[in-house]
Amino acid sequence: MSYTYNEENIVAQLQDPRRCRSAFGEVVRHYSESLYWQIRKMVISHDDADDILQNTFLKAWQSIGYFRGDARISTWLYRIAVNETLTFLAKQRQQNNVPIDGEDSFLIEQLESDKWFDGDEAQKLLQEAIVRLPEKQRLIFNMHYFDELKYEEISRILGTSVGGLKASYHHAVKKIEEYLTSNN
Amino acid sequence: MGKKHEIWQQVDRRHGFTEPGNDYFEKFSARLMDNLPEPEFPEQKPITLWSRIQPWVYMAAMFAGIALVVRIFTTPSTETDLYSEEPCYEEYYEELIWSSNVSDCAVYEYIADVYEH
Repeated sequence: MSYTYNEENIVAQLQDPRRCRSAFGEVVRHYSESLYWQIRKMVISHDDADDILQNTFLKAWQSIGYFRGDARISTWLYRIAVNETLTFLAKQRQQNNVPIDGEDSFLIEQLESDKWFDGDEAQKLLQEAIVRLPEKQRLIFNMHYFDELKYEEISRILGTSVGGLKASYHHAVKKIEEYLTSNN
Repeated sequence: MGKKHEIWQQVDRRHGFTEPGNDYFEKFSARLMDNLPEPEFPEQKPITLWSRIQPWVYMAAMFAGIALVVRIFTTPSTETDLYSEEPCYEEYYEELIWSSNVSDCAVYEYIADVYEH
């Protein structure tokens, strides 16, 4: 079933209590895949990504009455997804007693045992390097490299300056290349 | 070119993760929509005439208050000079008599003594 997604119409319908449910359904169909991958690349596990994706849309639904269309729907949803993901990772770190500046070793273990990863050696090596990045750098790297989001869009989502994002991305690439070189 | 550059070419922006089943996202949408609670919309209060003119009334009261304060602090004092008016002796003495505790007889006797001497 194909449908034409028109953001302007959807925003208007979302503010109408009689039509917001059907409009929200279109939003879910349109954004669930991109949000899922955004979350999945951060948490590795499919089950965790599924939970976080549900929470993301439920949070968005709970605040639907206050959405005025000031930001784009994609920006709004991405912001919620990022917050939910970071909250989840913070809880995981606490449960696994990971120090604040330590690596997310639990993610590395999940990557090695993940049954829903069928990448080749190069892709696996890259993911191992990415998982070892600090959380914020990992987020920015994924959004710019894999999702091909422009820095301006990432800036709107994360609230970080474009200059700061470029610096973070540059540092992330450097660390990845150092890891790849040392694990040659 | 070093191996690091080869990795970027080999990976070519493919992350390697997969989702379980080809219809995962369709099922996800259906599952989510089935479990959505009723939406919460903020209560919309009716716009009354008072709510429309309220800001203007408050602004007018504010400016009136400011104008009053300015008037109080800038208006020069207009105290009357008590000594500029010529005293009216009859009224002056009568007022003294009424305001004092001295009896009328005592006052007239005093005045008589003053004239005699």
